[in-house]
Amino acid sequence: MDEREIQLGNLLAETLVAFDEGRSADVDRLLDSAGSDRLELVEMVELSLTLRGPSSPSSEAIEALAMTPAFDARSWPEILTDARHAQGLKRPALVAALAKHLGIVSPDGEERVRERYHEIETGQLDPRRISMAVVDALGDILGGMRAVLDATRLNPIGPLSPDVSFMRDGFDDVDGMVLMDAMMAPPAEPTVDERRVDELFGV
Amino acid sequence: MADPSVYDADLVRRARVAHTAGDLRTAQNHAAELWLRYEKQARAISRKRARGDEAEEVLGHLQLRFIKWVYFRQDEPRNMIGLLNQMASYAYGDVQRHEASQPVTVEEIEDYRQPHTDRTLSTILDRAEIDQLMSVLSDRERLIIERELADVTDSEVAAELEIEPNNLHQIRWRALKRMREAADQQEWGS
Repeated sequence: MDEREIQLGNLLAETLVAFDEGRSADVDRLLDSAGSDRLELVEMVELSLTLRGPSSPSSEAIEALAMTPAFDARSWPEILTDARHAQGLKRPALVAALAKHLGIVSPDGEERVRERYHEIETGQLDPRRISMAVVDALGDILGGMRAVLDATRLNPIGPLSPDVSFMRDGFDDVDGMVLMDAMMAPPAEPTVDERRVDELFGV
Repeated sequence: MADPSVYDADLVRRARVAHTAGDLRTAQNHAAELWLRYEKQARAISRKRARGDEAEEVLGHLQLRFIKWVYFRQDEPRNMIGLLNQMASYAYGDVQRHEASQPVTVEEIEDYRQPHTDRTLSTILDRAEIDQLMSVLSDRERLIIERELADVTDSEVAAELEIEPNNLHQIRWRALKRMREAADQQEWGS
């Protein structure tokens, strides 16, 4: 008998049992014990599992996994709005907390945080390029939402929120006249804090 | 059960229809079922890319890509094992970017244009193709593989063949190697 083949054959059998029993640490230990034949052993495990075909998961297992953050199919605007309401937070309070988390203390910086957050929550700013610092801060402020926000950051944002109609109707925390004045004025050079906020939001 | 690829395609279709209709709970259930059907294979595939904790990170990124693919892509699943292998190569890149503090961009997560070139049995779709590969095996090797597919324990198979478990494992290892070589020849015509 070829001793090495016997060893690898035994390792394959043990590894498959460890896979079946969900013992990931044992799987890794067994694979590593194959030394230079590790990759070949992994390929044989893959082949064995492929030959067996797909599993038939229980409905309980499916429903439990479906409720984990990775499977959340909502867009960021939906998630942020739902989470903010669940926390009983008005947008100005959230913006103030967000600015504080990000270390933004100047009025111009905080105003830029308000603008960028508003754009994200209403679907005008794609969250896919925002920094992890913003994801972390929002996750904390919204009560342990970091995993959900991280897992859903790449979900499409969908249609614009009805709130975007603030251009016509006004908006709770936006002074319409101030907004109109700002739109009429020539664009000002961003301040240091405004640039910093823009970088954090991936703008 | 019916042809797995037909069942998989139906799950994907139903998940996308439910997602489009706003029935996210149903979409999430179908996506979760599809993942669980292939989770073991995905764990093995992740371990072709990395080891230990890093392999678990690859698996996490692979799962994320898989879920986005179910919800937001249009293409039909033709072969889940091939798809998982392709996604794993991108997921490894995601891990590298994450370690370099570079967030994964949407362009990167939606780019599956690069053909999959890993050695893998991506042609296996149904029982007929497995039977075709098994034609390269001896009678004894074929019996061992068939018993494994039928969930017969190793000790029972060893007793049936009147051999030691060590010997059984060695024969199975050789059989799988020959099947892999046959599959490689089918895929690349070499």
